[in-house]
Amino acid sequence: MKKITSALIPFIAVALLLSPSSVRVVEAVSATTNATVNASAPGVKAEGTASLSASQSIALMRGKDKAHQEIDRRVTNLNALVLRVQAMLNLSEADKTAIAGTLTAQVNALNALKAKIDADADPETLKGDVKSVTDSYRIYALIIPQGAIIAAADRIVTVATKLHLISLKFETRIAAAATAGNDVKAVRVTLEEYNSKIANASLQAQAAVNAIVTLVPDDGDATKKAANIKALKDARAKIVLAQKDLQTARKDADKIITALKGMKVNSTATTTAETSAGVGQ
Amino acid sequence: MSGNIKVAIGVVLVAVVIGGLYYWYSSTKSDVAPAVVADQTATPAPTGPTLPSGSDTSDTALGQDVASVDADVSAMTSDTASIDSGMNDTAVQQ
Repeated sequence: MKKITSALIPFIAVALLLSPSSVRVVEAVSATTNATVNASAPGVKAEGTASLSASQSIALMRGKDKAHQEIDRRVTNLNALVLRVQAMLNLSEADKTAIAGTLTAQVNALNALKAKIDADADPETLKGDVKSVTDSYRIYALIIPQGAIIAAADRIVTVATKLHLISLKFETRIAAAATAGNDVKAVRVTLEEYNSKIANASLQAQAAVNAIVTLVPDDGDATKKAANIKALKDARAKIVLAQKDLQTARKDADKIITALKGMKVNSTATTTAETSAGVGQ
Repeated sequence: MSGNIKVAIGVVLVAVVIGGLYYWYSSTKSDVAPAVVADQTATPAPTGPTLPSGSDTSDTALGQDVASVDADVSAMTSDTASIDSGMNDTAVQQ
């Protein structure tokens, strides 16, 4: 299970920092932000606005509205992913801060682009900015499902770890019950299935993360895009399998608890006391 | 002659004073504790999930433990929905 945790880290670098498209978007935003300063010069802006026809002004407004919608939607989803990352239990605070910081940088870049679009008075400049919104979608379209899969794997690790810790308690209780003379064959079989489901869930979650952690944005390459989609779908299928395994294990836990209750072995202390008393008789 | 003696005594006195000052400086300097530099590279490991009942193996404790798992198991549904939402996302046509 620790492997999953370590596999989460490259997600930051591979999916975001080292992505050529990501760099281009940041550069584009940086360039357009600089352009905003120039376009905001009173004389230039007045001249640009005055030269637009009514239809051009309407087209400009529509273009800005659509760009706003797209940017706002992405910012909302990226912020949601930041919150989800911060809620992960199997990452260190430093790692969470690093991932959240990178995602927040993307949010800031989009907000800067939005501000630039707001200030655009020239249709050609706006067209270029809108194109950067479209181009950056390839990064966003990968980061969001990639992050969601990693977050799902993190929760699977959390559940598997808890169930494993409960399994250790089951072992203690079953051993005590056996010592007390109870027939524990059936409950041991259930415990074996329970442990097997937990182990398989962990393997599936690990495989899901491994399948998507090295993916990079397609940059318009249809073959790469198809490969990314296939990898994401495969990873999703593994996540679903892992979740089903954990649900089965959870049901097994109920069976084991019920069986242990029937054996009248309530706690370690009680069991120890009862066993000692039984031995003394 | 007596002048030379005075000069010699003066030199000795100056040497003693300088030596005393040096000794005092050296002794006080060594008393200064070196600055403690905190280990900036140490990163706290993730705490990881734990059980609410700790190591208690009683029926009540097991009940609490599986209840804490149930909350996470329920949340797994929203995880799958988030993956689907991300994979089915379509851009607003520009």
